[in-house]
Amino acid sequence: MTKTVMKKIVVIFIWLCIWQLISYLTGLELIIASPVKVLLSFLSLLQKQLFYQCMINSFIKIILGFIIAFVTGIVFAAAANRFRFLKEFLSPLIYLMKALPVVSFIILLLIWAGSKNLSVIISLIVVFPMIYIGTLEGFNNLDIKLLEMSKVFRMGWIKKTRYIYAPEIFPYIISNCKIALGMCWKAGISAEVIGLPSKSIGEQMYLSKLYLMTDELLAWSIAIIIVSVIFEKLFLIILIGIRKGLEN
Amino acid sequence: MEAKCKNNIYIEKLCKSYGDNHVLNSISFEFEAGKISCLMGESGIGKTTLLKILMGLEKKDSGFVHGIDENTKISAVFQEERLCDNLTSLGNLLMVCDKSISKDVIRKQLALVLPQNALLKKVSLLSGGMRQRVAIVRAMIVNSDIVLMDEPFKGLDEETKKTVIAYVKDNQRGRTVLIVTHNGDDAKMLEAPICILTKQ
Repeated sequence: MTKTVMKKIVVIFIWLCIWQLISYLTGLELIIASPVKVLLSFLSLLQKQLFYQCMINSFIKIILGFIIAFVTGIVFAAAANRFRFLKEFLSPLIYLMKALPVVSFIILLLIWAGSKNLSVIISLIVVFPMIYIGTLEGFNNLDIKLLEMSKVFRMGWIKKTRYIYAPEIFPYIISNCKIALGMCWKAGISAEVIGLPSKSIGEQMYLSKLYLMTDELLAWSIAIIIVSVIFEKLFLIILIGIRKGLEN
Repeated sequence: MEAKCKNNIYIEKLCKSYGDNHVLNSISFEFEAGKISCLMGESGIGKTTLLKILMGLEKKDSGFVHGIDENTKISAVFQEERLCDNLTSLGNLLMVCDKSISKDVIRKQLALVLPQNALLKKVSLLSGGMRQRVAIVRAMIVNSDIVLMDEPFKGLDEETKKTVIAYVKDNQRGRTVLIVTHNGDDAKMLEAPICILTKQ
């Protein structure tokens, strides 16, 4: 085991001890559930069918929103880079998406569209500006001299995309994706907690809060962290794989 | 060898300014089709600007360029190498070559001017001189009608320069080659006529 991994394990262990200590000293198990109780609650959740139904429902919706935002963000950024008017046209919308609190969108969308697909749209709204801005930044930082070279040598658009655009833009997309992947889960689950779609993680977390089952609430949170980290790693592995594939 | 580009390149009363800076002021030249020609002149006189106009990267203010139109295929060596750092020298050439040029041909051409172990290295790991040679092979290997080179032998030692000049001559293939240089000896080695760009 490497030193870095050991250090991480020690740090996590210390924080778990602090958590256990606070729970023990305050004696408020109902409000601050101990890590042991949360772990037991998590293991108990794993044995329930409802847990998997909720995880799958929420996962599909949040990731669907993410993927739509990822694809459209790149497409719109490419179009905005080409057509200045589109860039100007989209800029107030992007600013609004960035500046308006997520909860405002959640409430508005609840009124307009109901709660069923709320987490899809919220995940999309949160991720889209990040991918769009990142990709556009990549386009803005393209090496003009390489573009001129490609023009002189009359490179086709496939070769240009593969050899010039992709290597320059991918790092920006990847770095923004790392943030967006975390944000889509935070925003998506928030939307579910407010909208309460049936058989969703958000609904279960709301119920846990309602019945003061903080151990279960934290167990759900751990499940979200695990799923989001796994998806983040997988998605980034795929993206980096695509990038390396294009380079070779 | 028969000239691939049948018409001479005739530049007539060409003007180009950047604001108040008149870089090219009604210059006229003629470069013979299918031959290597050298263009010389002091720094800042507008040689690179002229090449950029011929490449279609800059617009002329006025004047005419005969012998180059939208169908003319151009390949070039720029003042900087303009290579993709994340690719090998082979990758940089594959990027611009059409399917008629095989990997084997590219490898053989590169091997004429580069050591064997440099072919599969990323160009970011190559020396400036090696990168320059990759850029020269890139310009020569593609199926172009005209080759434009902006100080292609800059930074090469005498021995390497001789090898590279021989390579350029051997691979001219009846194309019109215009080389910007500061060194009259380069023109001698290339056995090329010299045009001198002067301040008007």
